[in-house]
Amino acid sequence: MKTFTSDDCNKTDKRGLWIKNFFQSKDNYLYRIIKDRALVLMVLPGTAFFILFYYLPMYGIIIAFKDFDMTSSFFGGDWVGLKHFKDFINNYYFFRLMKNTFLLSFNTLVFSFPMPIILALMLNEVKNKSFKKLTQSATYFPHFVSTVVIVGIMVQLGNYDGVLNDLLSYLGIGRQTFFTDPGWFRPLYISSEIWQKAGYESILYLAALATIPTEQYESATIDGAKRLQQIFYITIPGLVNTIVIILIIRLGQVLRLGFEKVYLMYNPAVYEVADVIPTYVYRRGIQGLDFSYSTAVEFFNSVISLILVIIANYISRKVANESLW
Amino acid sequence: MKACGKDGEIMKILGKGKLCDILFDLFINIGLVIILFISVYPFIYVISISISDSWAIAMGDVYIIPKGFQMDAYKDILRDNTLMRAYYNTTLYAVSGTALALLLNSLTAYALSIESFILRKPLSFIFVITILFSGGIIPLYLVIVRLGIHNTIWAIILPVAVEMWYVVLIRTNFKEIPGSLRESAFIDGASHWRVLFQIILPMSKPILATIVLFCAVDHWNRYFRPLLFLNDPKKFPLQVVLKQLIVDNSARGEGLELAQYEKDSAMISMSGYLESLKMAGIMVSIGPIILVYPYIQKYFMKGILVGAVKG
Repeated sequence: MKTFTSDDCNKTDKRGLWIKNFFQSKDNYLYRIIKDRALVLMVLPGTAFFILFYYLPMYGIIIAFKDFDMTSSFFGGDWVGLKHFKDFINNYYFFRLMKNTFLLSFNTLVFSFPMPIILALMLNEVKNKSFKKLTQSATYFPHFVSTVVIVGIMVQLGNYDGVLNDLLSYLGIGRQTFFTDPGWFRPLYISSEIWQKAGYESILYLAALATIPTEQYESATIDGAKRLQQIFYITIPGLVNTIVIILIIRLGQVLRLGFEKVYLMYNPAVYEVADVIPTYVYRRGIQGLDFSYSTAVEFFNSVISLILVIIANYISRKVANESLW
Repeated sequence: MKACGKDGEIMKILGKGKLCDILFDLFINIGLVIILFISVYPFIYVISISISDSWAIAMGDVYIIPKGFQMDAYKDILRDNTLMRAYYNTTLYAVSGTALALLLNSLTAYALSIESFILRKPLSFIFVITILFSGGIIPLYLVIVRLGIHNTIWAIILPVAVEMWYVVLIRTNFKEIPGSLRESAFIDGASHWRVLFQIILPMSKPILATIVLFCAVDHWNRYFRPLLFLNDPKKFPLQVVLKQLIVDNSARGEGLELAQYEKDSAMISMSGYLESLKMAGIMVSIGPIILVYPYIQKYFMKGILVGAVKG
């Protein structure tokens, strides 16, 4: 049997005409799908992908309300209602996990959010092109390095007899046990986050800065405005839209902490500040094979995270007239 | 800014506003030099430790500039079977995963870029939702196990084969190509396939290069997913093996055939040498990124949305 190719449709040969007449008269929708069957074929792998790796797992959330184990059928098991959610909320570690997750993400957001903006503002003032380019290249680079390497370098620098401790003891502060002292976990996590990402994220703001018309600066200079005044009255207002949008996106991601870095940095000595929902889910779910319970924990987390992004979007639409949807 | 008022004595010498500007520039430039140093220093340190003399490292003498010289750490790293197999695995995953992602993302983006395509709106909606929601890692893990692709290369490359961010990015680019080009090709009897592969894709090289860059770097750096979806140590990618070497602090002294150490008198410099090994491991793993880095910078701007927002 000869297969249809899309050429058949465009060249009005006999069969093409027949199909056209038949479906055009009967069902326009079906006709258009058949006419565009090449496009349907193109979008088919993507659709299959999203069904398999996004929608099927979304459906799989139902195991949070069931007692699932590896012997159950696919996402099967007996319905248990909200048992796993109750278990989690009554869990001894519930408060600690929520607190750690919130504190780590919010602190990361608060401290790391302004850095790319400041960097972009500074880079924007540099006149020497090659120095600007060098700084950009150097600050973007860590973004492309893996978390494993970042943590590896941190461990090397922060060793008890490492460079960082040499510096601290030279300054008279004294050596620190960075990786087993709970007090150091968040500062280390956040500062390495800034070190890795501030440079690359500044690209967004630099792109926004490039769209500010130069005439504004020229007329400000003629009016005698100082450089700092120009930053406060022209540059920063020109960035506000970008800042608000990125802030909403970040707020929405706030509870979606990167699992990798916490997992690579933490150890039982710092669990009291470092154990967060993703790491807990990993330990209980994958290592402990407690699938239903850990799915419930993860779902609980993503519902809160979704509520956060909706609130952030609502506030920003009211206050700044800027929103994602 | 009071010092930069109207009639300071120094102002008159330097001319109005000049001092203010000079101080301002000085402040910005010194600040950036410090930032530059902080960005680069860890890498310089890694390189220095990787090639310094073991004794100097153990004594804590190496800060910036390497002391002494040896390449044994690199030799040992490059001779280590476990690491080299991991290197091969990662290359395989990165190349095949990137090729697959490039194909599937382009196909999806093209279909969704055709205004008259009747499924365009419903499918776009269904796909965009995946940016906001996901089922989470446990259900995904169960799906992978149930599909029977657990512990195979497919578990690494299939679940990340399409990314809606990339599709949106490519589609936006396709839409910028004048529609008249496509129309005239259709009149000449070309199919959608020919239009995509012979007109649209060749005209979209910069954006495709950007996607290749992001996909390849993602695959190169991926740690968690392979840890989850593979159990066979022979299939582990570089990052998983590297983690054992550099973070777990378990430089597998007995596994590695150490070039330098036959004598037992060398316990102290042994500890220095183990540091060299770890740092050489880091350098070997980021080597490819450093090598291509100068050439890929021009694509950063194209991918800003994806790279900086995707998170």
